[in-house]
Amino acid sequence: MIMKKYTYILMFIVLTFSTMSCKKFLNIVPVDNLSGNNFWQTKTDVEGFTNGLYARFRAKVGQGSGFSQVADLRSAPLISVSAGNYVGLMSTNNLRSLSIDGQWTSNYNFITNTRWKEFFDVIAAANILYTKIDEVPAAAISDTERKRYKAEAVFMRNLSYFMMVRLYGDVPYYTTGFSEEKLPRTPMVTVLNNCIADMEAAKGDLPWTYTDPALTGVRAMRGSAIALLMHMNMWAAGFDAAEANKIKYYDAVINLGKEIETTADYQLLPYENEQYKAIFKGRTKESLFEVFQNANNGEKLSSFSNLGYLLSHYPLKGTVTNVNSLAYYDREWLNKIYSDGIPDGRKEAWFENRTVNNGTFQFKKFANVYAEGLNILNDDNIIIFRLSDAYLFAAEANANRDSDAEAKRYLNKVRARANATTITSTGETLKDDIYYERVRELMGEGHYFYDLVRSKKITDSKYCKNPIAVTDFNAGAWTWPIDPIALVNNPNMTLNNYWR
Amino acid sequence: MAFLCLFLGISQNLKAQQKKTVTGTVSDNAGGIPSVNIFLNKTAIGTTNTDGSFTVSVPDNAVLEFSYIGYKTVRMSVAGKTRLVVKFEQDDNQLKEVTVQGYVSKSKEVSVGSSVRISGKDLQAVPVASITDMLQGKVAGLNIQQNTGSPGMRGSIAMRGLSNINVSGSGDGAFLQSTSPLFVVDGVPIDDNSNFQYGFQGAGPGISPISLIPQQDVESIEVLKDASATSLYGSRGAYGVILITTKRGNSKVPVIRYNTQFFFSAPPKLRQVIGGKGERDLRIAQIMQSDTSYYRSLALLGATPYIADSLNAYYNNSTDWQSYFFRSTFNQSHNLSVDGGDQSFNYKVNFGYFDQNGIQENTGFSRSNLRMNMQYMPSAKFKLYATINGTLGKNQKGSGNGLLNTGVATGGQASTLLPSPSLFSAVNSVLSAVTTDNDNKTTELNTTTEMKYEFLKGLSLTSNFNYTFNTGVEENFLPSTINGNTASLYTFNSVKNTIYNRNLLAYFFSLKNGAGEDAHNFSTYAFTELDARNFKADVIQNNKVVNDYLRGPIVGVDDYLRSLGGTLNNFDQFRSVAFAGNFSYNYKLRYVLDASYRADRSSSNGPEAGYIKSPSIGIRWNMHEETFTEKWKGWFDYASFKLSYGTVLQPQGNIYDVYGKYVNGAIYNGSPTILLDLKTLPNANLQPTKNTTYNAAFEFGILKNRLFGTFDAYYKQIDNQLREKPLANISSFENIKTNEVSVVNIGYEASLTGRVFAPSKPFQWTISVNGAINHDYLAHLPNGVREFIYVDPNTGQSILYRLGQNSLTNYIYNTKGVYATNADVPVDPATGLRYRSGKGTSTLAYFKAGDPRFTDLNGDYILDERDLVAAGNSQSRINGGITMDFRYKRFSMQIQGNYVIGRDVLNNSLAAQLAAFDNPLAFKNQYRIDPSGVVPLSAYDIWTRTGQVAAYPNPYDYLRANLVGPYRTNQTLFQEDGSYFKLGYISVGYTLNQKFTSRFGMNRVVIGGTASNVFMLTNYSGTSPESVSDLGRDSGSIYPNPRTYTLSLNVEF
Repeated sequence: MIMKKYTYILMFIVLTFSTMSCKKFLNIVPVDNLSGNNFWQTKTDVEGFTNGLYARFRAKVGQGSGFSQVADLRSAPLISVSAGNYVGLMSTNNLRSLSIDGQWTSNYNFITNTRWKEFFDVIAAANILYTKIDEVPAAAISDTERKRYKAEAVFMRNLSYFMMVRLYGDVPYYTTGFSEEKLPRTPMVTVLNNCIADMEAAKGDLPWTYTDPALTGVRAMRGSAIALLMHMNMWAAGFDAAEANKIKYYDAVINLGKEIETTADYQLLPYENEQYKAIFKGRTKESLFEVFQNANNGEKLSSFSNLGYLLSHYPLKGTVTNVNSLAYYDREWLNKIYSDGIPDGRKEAWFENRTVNNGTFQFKKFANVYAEGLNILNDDNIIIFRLSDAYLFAAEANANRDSDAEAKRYLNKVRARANATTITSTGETLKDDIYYERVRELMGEGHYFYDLVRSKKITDSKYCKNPIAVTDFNAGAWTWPIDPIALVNNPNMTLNNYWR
Repeated sequence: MAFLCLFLGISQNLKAQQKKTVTGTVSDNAGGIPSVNIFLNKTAIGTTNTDGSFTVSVPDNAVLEFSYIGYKTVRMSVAGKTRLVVKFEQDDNQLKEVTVQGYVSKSKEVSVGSSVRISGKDLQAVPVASITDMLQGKVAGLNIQQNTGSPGMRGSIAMRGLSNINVSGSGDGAFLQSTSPLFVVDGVPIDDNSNFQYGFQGAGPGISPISLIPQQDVESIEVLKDASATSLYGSRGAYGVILITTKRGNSKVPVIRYNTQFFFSAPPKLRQVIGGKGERDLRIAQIMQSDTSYYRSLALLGATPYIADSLNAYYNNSTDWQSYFFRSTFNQSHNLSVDGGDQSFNYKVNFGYFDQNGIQENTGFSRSNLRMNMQYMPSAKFKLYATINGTLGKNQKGSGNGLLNTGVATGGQASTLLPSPSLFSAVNSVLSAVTTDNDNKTTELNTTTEMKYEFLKGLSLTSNFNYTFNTGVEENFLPSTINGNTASLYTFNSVKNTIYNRNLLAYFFSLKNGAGEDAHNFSTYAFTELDARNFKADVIQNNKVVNDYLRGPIVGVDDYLRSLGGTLNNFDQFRSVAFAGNFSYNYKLRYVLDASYRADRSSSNGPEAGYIKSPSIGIRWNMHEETFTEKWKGWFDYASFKLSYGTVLQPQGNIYDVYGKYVNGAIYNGSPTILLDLKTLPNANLQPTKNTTYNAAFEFGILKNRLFGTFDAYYKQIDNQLREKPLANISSFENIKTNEVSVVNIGYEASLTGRVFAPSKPFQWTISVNGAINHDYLAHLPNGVREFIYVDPNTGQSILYRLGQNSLTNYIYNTKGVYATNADVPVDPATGLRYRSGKGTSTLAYFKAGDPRFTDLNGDYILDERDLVAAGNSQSRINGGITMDFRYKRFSMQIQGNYVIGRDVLNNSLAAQLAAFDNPLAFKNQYRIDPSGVVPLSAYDIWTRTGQVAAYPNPYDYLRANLVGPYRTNQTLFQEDGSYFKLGYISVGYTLNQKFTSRFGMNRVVIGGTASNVFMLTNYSGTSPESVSDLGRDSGSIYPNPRTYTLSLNVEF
């Protein structure tokens, strides 16, 4: 009997010993990398991963072509001094010839605009963040923080979709984490409507601004979401076939304009005495969203990602012998947007030899990009959205809904800051004034081509020096070709046929 | 229990009888046998001396019983005798053998799984570094190909066909991912698939842990084949299990055995080359004949110094390059063992030394080990068993990696016109192969303790604990002369330790029937198993060593690009726990039912993955236990039928494949970022690979065991194989690891052994034949596709995976001879142009006389990848072996042969030799390169003149060679039948007369000689159809198998 007792005790010990800490025993923490089962435990994990979304986005922005600047080259009245053929090919929207130009695969690397993989890197990571953050223990992050991180993920994926829509038109759309689906392309307006609904739902979870000034503008804020929503609505309004829907989009933008005015966290900063340089350095109250870079940290983008590369010379860029800019804006066009008689602070502050039509022309908007004598070429944050952009959208939407007074209120806010005269026009003239104001205010910030496209002004020689024919436009001449690598392992994929 | 009582009762009755002294000898055909246990009424009363003689004092009419492992027990009465002569016969009733399945030993008669046992005695003939080499051709269904002759490396092992279709690497380095069986050495599993699977796959010494066991210390090897036998070994037993049992002491008188083998290794037949003037003349003739015009040819010749400048000492040579790489070597092995003791206490000490120099310069393997074990059993209830094994293995890989030695291959093909190797010679690969200082060491310490305690009759607990510590060191030094004027030093250091624990609770009981026999026999046991393994490797690479003589301290490192170091990414940690149980029932040994179940849980897929379960069940009918068979007693020994089903699951992938790998990204906004590595999309649904086997077997023995054999038929289905599936770029990740591949193997195995003469005859001749037929079929592919093609980017030798077909199909161009005349080339009626190569549209690309007749499958008159055909199977269909054993008195002879029938081998080596004619000017990308040597073409049916119907296309037309590719490797011209019969070895032995040897204090002396790898019967035109990669490609750079001639001496004191 005693023996039996011992037997049971021994069996018990053996069994408990081997099962007790089974889970712990089987959980391995590799020393070389973090594995997913040990991740998503602390706030540091979430913060690091979220920050990674922005880093991924910057990786795309910083690719050779500096794709935000591509919008300022394409169909733009730029004339090359010694830049090369690509300026002319871009300004005449001749991507077919561009694709055999040397710059297609070097320096500007225009080919990178045909690749969407990096956008999907952001989207996939954002989707994963959105899914996995629910697994972080409640003790590690508060409910508010969890919602904010989710909203940041939503913002980053919608921003990526929006950027892609502007480049390619229809794009595959998904919001599930860890997706391996072989999706076809979704019609552009559907993508935008999905994104709008997605962003609207999460917008409220973002803070107006951050207490840490280092995060201002660099991380998604509510203003960033509002600006993105305005852009998406306006783009959708331009392309939605149903006329009735346009009202819906304009009204949404009008409401967003009202919303952004409710906070004092965003302000238009003065332009006088070169104070505008601070805006473009970044992290200001005017900034709604920007991509961070800083040469001191070693976080530097390609020098091509700034329009100043083409439009500056010594002493802003290069050595004493560098007396000519690589390209200049056409005088006729500059005269059109800046009438000589009318005062405008931007005219004097940003231009040198504005109407000489040669290389001594200089565009100084990004003047603090370059450090004299140092080989640092590009150190400004890339401004994606800022407050005056949002105001001008509010103005445009109001004008389209025939509330001219409200439109003029927004427009003149922007003009007053630049010490320009107040605009009093109405109707179609007002709409044109708002358009030209966008051109003046946002020149070199990656909006020019897209404003032309969404408003279809690109087909009109009144607005565009090198217009695209309507048939070409409808066939997709405004898009970029899509790298055929998208077809690999995806039988449902199609490319943009216009450029094939 | 019943037996014991009976004996005790009898012994008491005999107490009062008178005693007398009886002497005698116990011997077999070869001489006296020491340490034979002598029993009187089941009580041990003595053992025989070293020469087999004995003296015992016993009652007058006693019946003595003599028993010894491996021999039939002899009972003999002493009534009226004082001297007994006992002749032992070897016991080979297969059914009474003890088999170990699922860590518990049982009689073969009640086991339902399919297994084969090989005695250690049959594995001694040829000195080998890895004991598995000796298993070749001995077990039906175990396909061992000695595809490397590199010392210390083991060849490929596959149990019952193909278990994996994944190909790693490309070109000549392409190989199938390893699925070698699990090795269990003395009850401790050793995983040979990780870290060591192929020496060349990862860094480090690459010495397999199985190579560290000396063959002399092996008592027996048991190969478990079907899932019902292996399921208790859990996930790692999915590809079969090989149990290795090492020797233990079992003799009261200590026995000292010394074994030595001297062996001579000779390189096999090497490639023939044309030397010196012959090569020059051939090159001149080639250029004059093939170039566009006479004057252009002359100009080209004049501009090619190695041909034109025949008076220059640099180009006026006839160097036999292969002689610098290959050599014959003398090698030795010594093994000394001491063992002794009895049931209550026994011990064994084995000291072994093995040294083999490779037949290629600068390669070799040596091993020293000390292996000890001891068993202590103070009472019938308690048993303690402990082992300590220490091993030091050293090898040199030269400039190669174990399987391949590409340096040797390219160097051996250099032009004979170039001067012999020196510091100033153009051909550096010789120096690199010879002067690379490559030194690898593996040290292993392996300790096991096993305790068994029997609480109650039939109920026992066994606890086994093992700790293994293994370090690997590789040092590779490249002197400055061969490394761009700076010496380079590479040091690799790895540490692996394994902890293994198993606690097993077993219970046996029987229910008696009316007649008092054990009718219903039950046996059940359950165990827990715990396994923990760590592996870490560190590397230092110093590319700027000061000179060739100083290797330290680390100096002259002024550039981080030139000196690297750190932990390698093959860092590995593994832990698993398992619970398993087995239930076995038999009715009078007649009907057997056996069921087992195992649940495994491991760290490889994370703790959330849950248990994976491996159930199995089997039944057996022992016909010979039926009463109706008694009337056949005269000729019938036994016959059994077995049916089994089992499933073994194996976790796949690693923790990163399931949960993703998070890595540090670039700094953003001054803060660190963490990104998900975009290589592999985490797959939370990763399933374990499922290996399901159905097995039916028939075993029989007739004519007093003069003829016995087994037949097996199996169906093996391997589902959920892991495979990387590439993804569309919109999912951001490159690929995902999924389990969507299934392969089915259907096969038949047979082995038959016959003794030609009756066991009592002095001349004995035993023939064993075995063979296995295996067919594999692809049953499922990723995404549900019906076929896909794996394109080898280097050689173009693609593999076609197509459902319902054999898994690995060569997908190559079909060559139907050679165009005899230009008129033979088909002409496109639409354009009026001849059929052309897809590589260009120049006039040279159009086929003409002397070009290979590639089949234009799609009829577009352009030869391109759309014309590839499914042409052959790189896996063997039938393989097996034959062993013949002759014994006459003290002579013995063993002949062993292996065969493979039906295998398609791609002779890349021949293709490369013929293609070597394509560059007589020795230019590559406008730079001069070293010219390559040429082989004599007289042996091949080469096209040389218009109208000739030849087998091989024109090799001399070098102007068009690049466009036409007449000697491209991916064509059926080079796909040959790789069937072969290899005479593995012939071994003879002679036992010296005991009377003579005992004068020198030696009990038993056996001298012997062996010749191995002697000849091969094959139609294959290359060196050997066995020296090919497991994808059936003969690259020419594979380390060839040497021929060895051995003299051996065994002395027993």
